[in-house]
Amino acid sequence: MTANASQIASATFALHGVRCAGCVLKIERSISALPGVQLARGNATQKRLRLIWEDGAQTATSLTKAIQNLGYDAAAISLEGSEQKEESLQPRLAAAVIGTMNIMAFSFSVWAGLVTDMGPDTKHFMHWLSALVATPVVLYSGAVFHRPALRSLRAGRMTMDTPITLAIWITFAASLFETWRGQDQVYFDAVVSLILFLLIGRVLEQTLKNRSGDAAGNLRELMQITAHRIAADGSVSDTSVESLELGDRLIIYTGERLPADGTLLTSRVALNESVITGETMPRVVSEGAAMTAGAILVAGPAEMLVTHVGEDAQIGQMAQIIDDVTAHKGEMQKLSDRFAQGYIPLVIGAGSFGFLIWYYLFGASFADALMIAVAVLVVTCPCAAGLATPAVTSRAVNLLMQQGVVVKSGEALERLGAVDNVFLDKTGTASLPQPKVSMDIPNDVRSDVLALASASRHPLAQMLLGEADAKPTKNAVEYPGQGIEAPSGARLGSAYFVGKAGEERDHPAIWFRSPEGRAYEFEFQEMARDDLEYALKLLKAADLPVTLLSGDSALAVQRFAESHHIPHWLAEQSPEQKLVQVTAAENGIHSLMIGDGINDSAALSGAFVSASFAGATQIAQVASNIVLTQPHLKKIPQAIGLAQQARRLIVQNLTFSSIYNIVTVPLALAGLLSPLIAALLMSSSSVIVLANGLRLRMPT
Amino acid sequence: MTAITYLIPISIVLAVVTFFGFLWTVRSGQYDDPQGDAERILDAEDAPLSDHERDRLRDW
Repeated sequence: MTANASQIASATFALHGVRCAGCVLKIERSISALPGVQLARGNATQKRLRLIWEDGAQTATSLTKAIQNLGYDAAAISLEGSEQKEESLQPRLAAAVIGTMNIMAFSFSVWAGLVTDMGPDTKHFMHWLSALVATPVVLYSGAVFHRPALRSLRAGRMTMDTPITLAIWITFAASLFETWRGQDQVYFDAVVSLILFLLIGRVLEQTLKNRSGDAAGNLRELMQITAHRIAADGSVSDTSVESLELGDRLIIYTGERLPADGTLLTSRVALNESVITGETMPRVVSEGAAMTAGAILVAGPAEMLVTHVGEDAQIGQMAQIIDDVTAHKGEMQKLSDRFAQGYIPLVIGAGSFGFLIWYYLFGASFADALMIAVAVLVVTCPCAAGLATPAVTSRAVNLLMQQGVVVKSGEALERLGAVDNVFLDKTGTASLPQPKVSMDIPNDVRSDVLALASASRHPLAQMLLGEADAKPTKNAVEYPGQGIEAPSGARLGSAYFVGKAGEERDHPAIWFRSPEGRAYEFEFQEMARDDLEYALKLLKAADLPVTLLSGDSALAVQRFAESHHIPHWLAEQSPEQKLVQVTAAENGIHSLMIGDGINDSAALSGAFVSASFAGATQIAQVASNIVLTQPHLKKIPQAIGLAQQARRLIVQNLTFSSIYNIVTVPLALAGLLSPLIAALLMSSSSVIVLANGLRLRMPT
Repeated sequence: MTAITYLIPISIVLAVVTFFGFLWTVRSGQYDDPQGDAERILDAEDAPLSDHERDRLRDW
């Protein structure tokens, strides 16, 4: 956020829960109508809103509230430093397109001249014209390839850019030389079209990267927690979690996450620790009790004394495990680099081999031998092979993004397609984070019950109240640990409190006794997410076994598993046990872990591939390869289906490009392909591979 | 064949003009939000940003 002397402030907000471009425009219109807002401009592609306002009239917080009132979530994000946008490739692509079109016009006339009656001078003039157009294209558009190639060459390494650069510059230099000698072996058209088609691939890749970068950035910023620190003089100021120190006193309001480990200074509050322990029911803690960072305060406010921050806090230690596991995972990515290291010397070797045998063995002219070498370089240019995977993955990742599934890497997509076992966390993932009352409140006592519940601070009473709006009963007396009593004699509380001692069940429940003495029991049940059944059905249809993996008690897990026909379940799993479950499974089978809590994060990062959703803990989102922007479980089997499709298409593409190389390399070595034909073949093979990627469709 | 003496310079000039025209479209942010623009065109009240407004919004 920035503000200057004239009291004008500006900020960029990440928008969440917007599903269409229309929503972004709606937000833009509503916000720009607010007093003090000078300029509002939404970007539907990035899902962001840029705002400029007068500092006195509005604040970042009031604007965030305004957006939230429209039914969307928003968070001011800082763009400085966190994202360095790469230079756009669009102008370079444009130069290549225009250059290619013009050179094609000139060389077509040269070709036509070969069969009709173009004079040698005219033809020569056309070559000079082509050279004139090709030079800026090679220098400007080709820089995308030769700059990084030179940079890595200086570091003593070869990359995919090395043979491309070689092919471009050898062909270009040879064509210039031939033009200068007045000869006909001129291939400027091959040079520019080579650059053009390779650039198209790069631009597609860049667009994709920016998009997922935007989405990830939006998510990251939303998850940042602010802490409210109490100074020695009692004043409260907002501070970032990073700047917390041991011994700080913090105030936490109801509904907020604890930013650090600490001890409670005030009396009796309730904490939802489901993200840490998997336990559904809120825990009531009293003064002096230890509280863990990441827990949500259900009934507060609370004051706490910070005892552990950062790496020392329980969350930090969890993060350490994740770092270790992810470092190990990184090994996989080096594989493709190693492929390039092996393949490129082969390409260059084949080119030199072609030149040597033709020049020395068959006595071809220097120019002919050089052109054969170039044809080999161009035809083997790992374009189709290089595009085989990104052509499919980029489209798949795009399709998934439109559906609210953010896949963090192409590798994650490939892994998703190979999944053969699904592990599902229960609390907060398969079920809603908060239990709900499992029956309707009888109408005759409804208003009394809700009024009492509204007067109580007990978490169960708050849950009973839910979304309902009721005036709290006046002068109700709350008995800590027992219940609440209205002046009329109506009571809301434990079974014991309403005189039903001995009737407690294993279900969490709250009892109500009417003034006349009738007692009602309201049971709380864990509610499955709306689309859990549908998701399970799809997974079953796809022949993927599902295991419920939970830190909750055996009874709760069993009941949940049975009511949703999940045959495999494991209860009372510690984070370490969860990790062992998903990695032990990795011996031979490929596990997909879906989770939301801090207790899942180790398993999420250790699994073959993992998914979480926005609204889950930040640590779970960071640990996962895939993040759903909405907690819609049915997207998971759909994403798996798409990933499997993508896998098939990638295999097809790789097979095709191998066959292509097996056929064309001998032809080029035999001198049967001119560089232009080689470039045409190379380009059409790329187009075929790209077109194959377009066949992907989102399964329903 | 005298036609090419002026047709070719024209084609080169056109190419250069096209390139700088395209550069202008990039610089003026016409590719920044393809999804939003597709919707904005349907909105009767939506007006393009003025140059002044665009400068103020610059640091996306």
